Amino acid sequence: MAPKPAIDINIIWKSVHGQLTADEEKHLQDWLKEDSSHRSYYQQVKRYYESGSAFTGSKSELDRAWRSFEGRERSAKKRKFVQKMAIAASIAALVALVSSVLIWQFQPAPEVITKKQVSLIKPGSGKATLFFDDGRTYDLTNSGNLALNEDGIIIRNTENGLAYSGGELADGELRYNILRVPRGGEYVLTLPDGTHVWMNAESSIRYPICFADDERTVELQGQAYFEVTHDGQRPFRVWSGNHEIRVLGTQFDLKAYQNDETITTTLVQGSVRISLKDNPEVQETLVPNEQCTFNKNENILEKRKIETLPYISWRKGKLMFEDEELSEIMKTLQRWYDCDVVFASQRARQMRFTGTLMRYDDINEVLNKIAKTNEIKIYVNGNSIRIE
Amino acid sequence: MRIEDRILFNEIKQGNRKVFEALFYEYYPGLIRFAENFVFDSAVCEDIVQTLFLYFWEKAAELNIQFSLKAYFYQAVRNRCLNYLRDLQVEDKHKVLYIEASLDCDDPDFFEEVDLSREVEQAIELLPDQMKELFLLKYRDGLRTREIAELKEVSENTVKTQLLRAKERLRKKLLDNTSLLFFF
Repeated sequence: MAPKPAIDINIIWKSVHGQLTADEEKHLQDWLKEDSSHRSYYQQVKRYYESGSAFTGSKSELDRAWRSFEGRERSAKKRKFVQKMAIAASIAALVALVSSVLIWQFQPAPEVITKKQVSLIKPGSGKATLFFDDGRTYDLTNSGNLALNEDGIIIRNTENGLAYSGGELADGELRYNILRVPRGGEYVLTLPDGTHVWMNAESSIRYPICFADDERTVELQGQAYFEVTHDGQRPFRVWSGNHEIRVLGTQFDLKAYQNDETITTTLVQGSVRISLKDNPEVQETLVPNEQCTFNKNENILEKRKIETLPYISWRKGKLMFEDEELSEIMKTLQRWYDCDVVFASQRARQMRFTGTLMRYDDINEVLNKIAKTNEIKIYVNGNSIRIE
Repeated sequence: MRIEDRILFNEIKQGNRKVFEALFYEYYPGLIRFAENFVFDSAVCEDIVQTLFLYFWEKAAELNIQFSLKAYFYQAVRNRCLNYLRDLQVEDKHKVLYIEASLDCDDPDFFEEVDLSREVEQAIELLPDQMKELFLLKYRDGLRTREIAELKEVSENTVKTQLLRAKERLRKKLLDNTSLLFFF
């Protein structure tokens, strides 16, 4: 007989306090496998015992709670109204199709409210800053040209981005550059081995201007899509803190923002191996259409099968979201549109959204699409967005 | 229902928004903390408590509140939390979450309807005498801190400190002895 999926809280407790028997461990694992809501409950119990309540009960928190309550009340009323109208519509539809057209007009309109002044929020564009380790810096845009010759290594900035070529490594000494893409920016980089790197907003990469003979190592913070030139002699590694990706030649997307809880690697072509510096036993190998998520808090890697398109479409001018929390979506928009986002309601934060937005669209169009699908209000004022 | 509660509840039934807001501010933090003992996730707790307040506000006219508003709120939150756990397929057979929650609640009027499990009674037996006495006055007999202080002729602060220590010991006992506790 299959074990009952229900679990007693004491097993969760004992697990959190590290005193499970083998049987209980199995029971727990079975229960965790059952559903993602089980896993998140377990994580919450753990977090609660480690760091206590996130709720302080301060005056400002209560004020926020009250506002959030009132928002909930309003949307409940609206929902009832829409429900009633929907029932009316279905009856009316039996009588005459025209009625349902009338009903539509009663549906609440999408609510993005922009103050009369012009919105200051603009989509991102090609811009970046190049840093040399001797202190020189260059501001780059897709129109500005720059041509440097560093001991035979040619560095060129054109409308196609920044590219390195030629040169040989002098006496084994690696010289590094850092390319920093600000919020509201993107940039394409071609490394000395021909590897292309599409850098997303608010991302930095550090790399030698000429690779060593036995390996190619770079460091990334933020998000980039890599198209790595195959070189069986020199594995290509990407470090993000403790997290290493090792490849020979492939295409993959790496999302490793410092202020995110996770590092996500999405493999499009070839194969990659992911490992952790301080725990070499933990590793995962990905094949195309697999994704690996590294959770920084728990120090674990998790692999799953996915459709890659939503994760790499940013490079093609699209923002695709699949059942993603609004808070995550707004993080992405914040980086790309270089704007501030404030959530006035916890509920809005956790709403899930599926859809495709155009990355170069005006922010209002993008927000309108979001407002249309959910019961939220979005206010735009100057450079900031408020969601209720 | 106590007279104050009856007056307040009557105002709510008549749609007095000011009173409702005041009740919200009064009970919200305690209820969130209480709910967190079951649910552990403050966002979910806020959802549960806010939904309850919405229900309370809209359905006040139909509600039949027996004991006190506080008892009503705490019981309702507890029930909603237990439903949430049921949906997650988490059981609390030994009412341990419930005891933890009660210990965290500053003035649990509602507590008196619960029978303490044998395990908890045994843990209470192991408390030092004075602590045990105060603890039982508070949680079994439902006395207020001030009443206990008067009865025992000690300061209110002493009562509070002793109760706090008792809670800590009890919690530790309950946690440390889980294996013993759960396999009776």
